[in-house]
Amino acid sequence: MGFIDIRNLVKRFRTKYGEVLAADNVCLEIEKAELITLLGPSGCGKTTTLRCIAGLERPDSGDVLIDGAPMFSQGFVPPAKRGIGMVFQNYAVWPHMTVFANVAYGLKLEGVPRRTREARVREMLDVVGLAGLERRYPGQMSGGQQQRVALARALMRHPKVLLLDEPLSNLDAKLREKMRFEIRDIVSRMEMTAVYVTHDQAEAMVLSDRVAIMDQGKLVQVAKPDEIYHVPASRFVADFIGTTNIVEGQVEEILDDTGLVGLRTGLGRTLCRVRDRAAVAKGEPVYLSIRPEDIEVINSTHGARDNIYTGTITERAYLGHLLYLFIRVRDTVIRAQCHPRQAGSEGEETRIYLDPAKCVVLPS
Amino acid sequence: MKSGKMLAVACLLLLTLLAVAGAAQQKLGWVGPIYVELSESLKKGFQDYYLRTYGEPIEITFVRPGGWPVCVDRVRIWDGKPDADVFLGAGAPAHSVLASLGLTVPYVHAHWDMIPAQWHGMSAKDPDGYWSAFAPWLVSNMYNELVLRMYNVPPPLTWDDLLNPIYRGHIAMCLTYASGTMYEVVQIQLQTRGWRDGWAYLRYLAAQVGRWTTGSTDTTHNVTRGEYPIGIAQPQMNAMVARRDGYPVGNLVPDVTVLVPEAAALLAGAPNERNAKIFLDWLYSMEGQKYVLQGGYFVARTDISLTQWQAEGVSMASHAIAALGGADNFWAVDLDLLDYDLELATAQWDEVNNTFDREIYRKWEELKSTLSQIEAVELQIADAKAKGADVAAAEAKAAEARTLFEEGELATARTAVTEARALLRR
Amino acid sequence: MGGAGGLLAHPHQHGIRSLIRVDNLLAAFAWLVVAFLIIYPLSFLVVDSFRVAGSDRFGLQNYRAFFSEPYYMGAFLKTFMLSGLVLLTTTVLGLPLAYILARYRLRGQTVFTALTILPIVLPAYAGAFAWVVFFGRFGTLNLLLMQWGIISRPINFISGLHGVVFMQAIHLLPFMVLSLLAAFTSIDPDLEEAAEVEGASGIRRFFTVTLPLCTPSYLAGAILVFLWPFTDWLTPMIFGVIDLLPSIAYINIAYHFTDVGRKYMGIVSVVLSSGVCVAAFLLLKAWVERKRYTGLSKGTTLGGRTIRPKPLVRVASYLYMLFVSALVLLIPIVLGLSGFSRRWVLTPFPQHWTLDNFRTIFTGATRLISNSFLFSGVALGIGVLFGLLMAYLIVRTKALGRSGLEFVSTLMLVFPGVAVGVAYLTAFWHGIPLATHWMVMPLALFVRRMPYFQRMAHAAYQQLDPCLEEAAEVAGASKLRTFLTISLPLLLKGIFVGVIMFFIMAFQEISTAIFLYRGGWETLPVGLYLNWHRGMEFGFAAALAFMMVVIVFVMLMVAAKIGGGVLNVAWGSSGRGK
Repeated sequence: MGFIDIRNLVKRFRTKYGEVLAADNVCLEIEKAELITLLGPSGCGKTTTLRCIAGLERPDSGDVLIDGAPMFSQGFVPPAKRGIGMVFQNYAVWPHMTVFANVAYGLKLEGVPRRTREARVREMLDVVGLAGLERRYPGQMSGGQQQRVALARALMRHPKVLLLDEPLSNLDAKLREKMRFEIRDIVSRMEMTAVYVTHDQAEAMVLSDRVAIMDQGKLVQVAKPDEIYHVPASRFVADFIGTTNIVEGQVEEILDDTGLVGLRTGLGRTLCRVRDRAAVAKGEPVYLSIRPEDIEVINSTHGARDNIYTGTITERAYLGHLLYLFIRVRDTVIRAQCHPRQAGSEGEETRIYLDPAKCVVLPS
Repeated sequence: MKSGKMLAVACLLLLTLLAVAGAAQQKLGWVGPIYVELSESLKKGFQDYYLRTYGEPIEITFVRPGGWPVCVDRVRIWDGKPDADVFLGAGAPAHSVLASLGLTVPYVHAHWDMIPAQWHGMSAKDPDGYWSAFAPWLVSNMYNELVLRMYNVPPPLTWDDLLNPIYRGHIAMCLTYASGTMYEVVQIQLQTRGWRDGWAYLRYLAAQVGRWTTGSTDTTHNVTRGEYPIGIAQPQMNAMVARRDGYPVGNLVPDVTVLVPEAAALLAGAPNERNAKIFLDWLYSMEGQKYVLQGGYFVARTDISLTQWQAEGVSMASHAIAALGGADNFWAVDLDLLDYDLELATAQWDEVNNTFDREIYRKWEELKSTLSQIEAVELQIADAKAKGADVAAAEAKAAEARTLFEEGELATARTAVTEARALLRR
Repeated sequence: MGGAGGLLAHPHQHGIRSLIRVDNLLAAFAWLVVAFLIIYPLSFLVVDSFRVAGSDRFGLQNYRAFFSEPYYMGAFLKTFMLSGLVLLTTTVLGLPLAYILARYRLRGQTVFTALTILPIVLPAYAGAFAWVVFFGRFGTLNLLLMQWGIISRPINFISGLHGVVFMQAIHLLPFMVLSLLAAFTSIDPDLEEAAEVEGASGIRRFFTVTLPLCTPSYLAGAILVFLWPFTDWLTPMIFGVIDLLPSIAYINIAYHFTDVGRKYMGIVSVVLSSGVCVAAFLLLKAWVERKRYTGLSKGTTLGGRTIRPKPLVRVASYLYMLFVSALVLLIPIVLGLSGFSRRWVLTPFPQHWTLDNFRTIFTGATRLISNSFLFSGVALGIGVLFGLLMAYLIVRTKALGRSGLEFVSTLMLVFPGVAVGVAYLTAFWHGIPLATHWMVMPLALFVRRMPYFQRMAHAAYQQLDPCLEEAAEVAGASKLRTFLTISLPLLLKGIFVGVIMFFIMAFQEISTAIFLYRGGWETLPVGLYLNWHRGMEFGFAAALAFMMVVIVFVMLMVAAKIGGGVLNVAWGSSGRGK
């Protein structure tokens, strides 16, 4: 059993247009001292799930267990009693209080004496890099500083679980990148279990021990970042994480027990190696996903005989450190990522090779 | 917890407030439509007297929710559990209603005999001892001298004078049910002229009106400010007080009028009955009556000599003498009063008010336009007649129109006017 | 009512216990208050409207009589017309004023803003009387014009419907200007700048972008303006207009004497005007909900765009503001002149100066002042607590029946004070003798003036980011604690205007107080009303009115000073995330 155990969480919202399932039977186990990211497009239910963990939302059914203790089924445990700290998307730093008052708020409620409070707050402000700004009001601080105040406030009571709801989405790109590492640093230093909600995949990749991807209220894949990238579980995940080429196809034959299968796709005949033999059946419609960086643009000679296609370059997109070529094979346009010095101009004919091991077959 | 403390403090504060609000003392409560100047005067006088006589102060409260019908209604809502002891003010109709509903009880005060039972055929006190007048006055009209002079018209002296076209649009008149005084004016017309002619008169009068008011004080304000120089249905003493205050107004006691015996009565179930009786005894004493006069009302005792009071230095006495045309006592004023049928007037209250409302007030614009059409055609007829034309038929039609107007058949009257005009053209 | 389904839909973990949640208990408490102070007494009135005069039966006779009588129908339509005209006038007067105040950087803006708000401070009846003194046939203006030989006969400036429109429009101008001001200052400057970039400049931009964006806010103010003529009986009567629903209601109820049929007709008028107002209200609500511009809800602290106007525009703006200020200031000036003089009549200016009126107030009438402060103060206390509770229930919870609560309490906007007074006396004399205790005065004031505050509290709550409260909850604060330490301080700015308005509106309330006061409970307005008839001399009443204006205005200034100071610490330097 995980440190946080989300069991069959269901949450519906009524809107003017009818009922929306914000969390559709979500089950998730989160280990102690793990930083897990809930990732998905807006409206996928990630924030709802987080708010259920926090106790700010009550699920219609299902439960959340924190450190073995049920939060809903045996009497509602209010947010304050869950041992959590939370950082909100727009910081939720109280504008009418100083930095000190903001950070010390929870301690004051706990009845921590003023001297201790002061010492602990100072210590915490040191950790988040705000030393000496105790007397400032939030209105006098930059967005990044406000976010640090929010983080300090959330950490102040030594929570068992830190919940972060898109904490960096209001910051500019540079600062966001910097804060990512800082947050990961602080969380891992404090050995905190953290749930982090974001719609930014780069953020999720950099930060997380594991990434949980949600779509329309459902949890679609939970895995380590590299696994998510390289072995997506569905077309949605493949598409949502990074860029990929999706080609529709059909399983034509199952070639051997190692998982090599032959597909009929828009490109022609394509061989792929599947991880799970049992997952594919002959005649089944599937999607073929292959990342642009896994497509080799080849010259006349190449060792392989299969999976080589001839196409026309329709567009060159030069990004400096790399180059995208858009190559039309029959009616399908494939995006290939090449070295920036790769030759070939628009209208030229070229050939590409798809490594069967790098082709991912996804259920339709 | 802090919030708990705050709550406790709030509760404590509330309790203190409640405690402060209810301290025991000698008390007396009045309800009624008298003006504040009188209530203030009486308050001061009676508090002095009470302290002097009984050696302790008395707290007096006065509620005046509006004109007398509102006051009567208030007592009715109290329904035997009154929030006052004395009904102070209002004339016979109010008091007879109160008595008939059992909301007042008889009390024959110490100076009962000093109030006349009858005056020119009108009661000034109740034979059964329910009420007696302490501040009588006559139903009057009021005018603004200065403004009438500016418009270059003389003051109207009689009811019929008011129908003179020179006053058209200059008259302010009250809705009957909003003022007892106005109701008396309507009854005066009905009782002197008879039902048909009374309404006919009121229709003509309505056509003269420039503004409907919603109370006799509303009328008073309009006259004193000069908005409308003539006000119908005014308590007689209003002009006296206004003159004292320097307003260029005059009082007109018309040719026929009635007495309003502004009276006081003891309320049934009065919480401070003893003090109420002491007050009523005092109110009709010579001392009490002086405070009534100083409060801007006339006084009711038959044995008062205003000239003597004037000599004693009662400042209002001279104003009263002037307002009463030199009379030494209110009852000494010499005039013909209508033989007023109070019972009839009281019985007809709803009927007359509703008729007035429906037939006069709501048809005001129509009355005005119809009358002006009649007058226009009459002018044309007179013109034609002067030129020697034969206008007998048209004249007859015009007269018919007038009759129809008087009877309230306004649409038919206008048809008759059209016919008269057609006859004239022929 | 959406909360009911939401809670019952998952009995799995909440069940009956969830129904006894704090929110629902609070809602139940609010319902109790509403039922006791609004529904119970007012039901007496509604029942009365179905009584058949002269019998014990009930029926629709009164309503049938109302609609079949051309006079009543005429009054009905005339009231609509009056409302429309008043709305039109306030809009025409208020739109440029609000625009000038919101957008132009001009000297003395604070003073002019304060002056525009002044009419709220002035009771409509005091204003009406001051106008009679100034604009009457033999008032200052006419007398001066005649003296200078410009006219030979007085002009009727105010007697009649046009006077009512004029007076009510001035009185209601603040509602209009305040709501438009809020709208103008909360529009994201980007939106207007975008229009500018697209090539729409000046007037075109104003009509195509600015004005449509203001509409929801404008309507919020407009509804208050539109409904006012349905409850104000006194102003029309002072100007000699009687055939309007509220005046008919007042006269018929107050002066029915023995004719209960008349009283029932008065009550029918009340019920019908309430019906109209409720309908108007619901229509507006539906409309605004359909057309909510998300851009408007954020950042009222932005302040919108400000422009440095061209010289010509600047001069015109000043002239316009001076014109409106003069109209507004006229009232306290005339009241002041009357208060410090005696026998001011038929002369353009007072001839006899005196301090007697004020001496009388300070020697004999201090009770009026202290009563007014006590009653309004207690009403304010209850009102703020209850208003915030309601706002909390409506905005933040799914408590049972919260929309019904809001609806019922807003109903009070449209119930004429006379009706409330009569209903209270009837309901609270026998049986529940609340009306024998002075608490009935503040309670009645609270009930009558509540909606004004509640609307503000509601809006303020909606603009408060829930995260700020959630953050406190996560940090370990109880709901009450969160409210006291986080929500309340942050709401202050938003409800501040509401608090001031509530107090002032309560301070000048007369229609209900005149029915409910017992000896010793006289408030300043009641004293004013009573002293109106003190002889024919207006001076004392004018002095009281003047006192009232001064007191309230001083309060307004002090509150603004203190409030501004306190609020600036928390808000002044903060842009709330922007």
